[in-house]
Amino acid sequence: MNLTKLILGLRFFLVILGAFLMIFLFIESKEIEVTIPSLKNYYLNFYYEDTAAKNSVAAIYLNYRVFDTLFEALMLMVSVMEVIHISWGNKHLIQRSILRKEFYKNNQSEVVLHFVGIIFPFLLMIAFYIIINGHNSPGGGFQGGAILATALIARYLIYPNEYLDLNILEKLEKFLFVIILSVPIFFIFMNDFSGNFIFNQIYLVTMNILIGFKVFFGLGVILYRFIFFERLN
Amino acid sequence: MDFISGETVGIILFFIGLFGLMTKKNILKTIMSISILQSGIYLFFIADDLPNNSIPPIGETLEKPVADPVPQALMITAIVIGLGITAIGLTMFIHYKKRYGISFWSRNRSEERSDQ
Amino acid sequence: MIEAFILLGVVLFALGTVVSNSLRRSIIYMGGFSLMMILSYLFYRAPDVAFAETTIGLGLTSLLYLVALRRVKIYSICYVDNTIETFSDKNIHEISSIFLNELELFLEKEEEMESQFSYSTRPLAKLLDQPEHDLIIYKEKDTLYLYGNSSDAIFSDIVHFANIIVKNDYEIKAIFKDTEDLYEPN
Repeated sequence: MNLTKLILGLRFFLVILGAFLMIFLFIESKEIEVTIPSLKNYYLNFYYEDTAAKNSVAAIYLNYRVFDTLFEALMLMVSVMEVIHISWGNKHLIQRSILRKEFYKNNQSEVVLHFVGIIFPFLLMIAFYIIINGHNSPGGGFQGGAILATALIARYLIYPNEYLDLNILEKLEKFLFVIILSVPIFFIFMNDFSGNFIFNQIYLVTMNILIGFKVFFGLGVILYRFIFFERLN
Repeated sequence: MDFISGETVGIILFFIGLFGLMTKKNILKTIMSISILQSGIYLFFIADDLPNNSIPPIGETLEKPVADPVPQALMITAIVIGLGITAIGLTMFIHYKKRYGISFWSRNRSEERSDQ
Repeated sequence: MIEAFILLGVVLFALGTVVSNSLRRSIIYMGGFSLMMILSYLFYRAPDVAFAETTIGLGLTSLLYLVALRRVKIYSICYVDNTIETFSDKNIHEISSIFLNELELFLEKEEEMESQFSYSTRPLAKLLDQPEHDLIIYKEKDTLYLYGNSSDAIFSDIVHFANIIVKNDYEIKAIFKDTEDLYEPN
């Protein structure tokens, strides 16, 4: 009993010590003058002429540093595969479809049904607005895709018994990832369109839509897998 | 108050998450602590090196000073990856709970109770 | 000034999430923590990141945690009182302050178990037939009757420490449902 309290106190002391050390080092290092010409100034001076995007954040993650976005999409795809594999790991591919007889009839409340029905078109509208207008205003593919995944939950609240094939969603996600890889390769790495206004805008909108749908499929698979975890196994 | 800034609070959040990782025995608590630790890093990156009275980096012609867009673009991707980490952790938790009935790293039984 | 308030809220909610003993409270604190993080992102001129945190951190992550919480085992406790017609808030508050709060704290700290309370006015014999409650508490004048299974380790822990949990001068009698043995601590 005494020993456990001692160990807890030691851990607490270590955390406090580490926090004070880090804050002290941070405040000390702020005094040192650094004279490296920053990347920020280059990006902020030229982003509108180079990429035709009014949102400089979108300009960076879709044009200047597009490698980040590609590897982030890869990470999301790997995590979706991991979720599917762990939860369905010991089953054959044929057994992985959701069987109709395993659904049960939910007693849905009337209030939820009506209000979700009213909200649903507005949800879709704001998601597509955020995706398509992502290069000019705050938003973009990731955020819009996440809102579309929320719309999938609204669909589950209204029709809990409706069939949804997760295999098709997973395959579509992988297919979209290949397209997302190929668009910047053909557009940015092989040509130089910097300064061409129309081409750049077409590229930005295309990439935002592709990323939005890829994130939507990936998060949709994760969410539906979580919701049906208890009933299937 | 120069001391209360986003960077120091980011460091404090990181160490709060570390404290949770060290002391809590519940697996769900561990995953939550990892989320808090990540949030501390996001806050540190975003609040770092911000000019006074700056504006968001959105618009056709920007008047200086402007917030730095590079860490913001990095943090958007980091948040989506954070969701992936949480989802994988929770899936592993549910799977092991179903298979072996574990929801704690180790049981915290005091000595007097183990005697009886 | 407003910066200090937002950052204080962030730290308080994070501490609440880590330190709190109940998992449900932790998840609610986690939602509050995400909300304060959104406010701080907006304050530091990052509307894009605030958007991403709103949809992903506040919306989807909370849902995943709530789904995962359903897998954690919950200890169900039923309190029976036949003398009153319906339970009002005042009754429940009175009972809680006597011993139910202490019982909840005991379960969370010592047994590391989530607890769920329900209150009933139905006759005791009907409730004893149903297996859904792990522990049934029945009060008659100054005597507390605890009903549970003899194979349940948590129930025997509660019976063993019952005199510490219940601070008032109640007489405590534990009855095992399956063997119908009567056990009186002290």
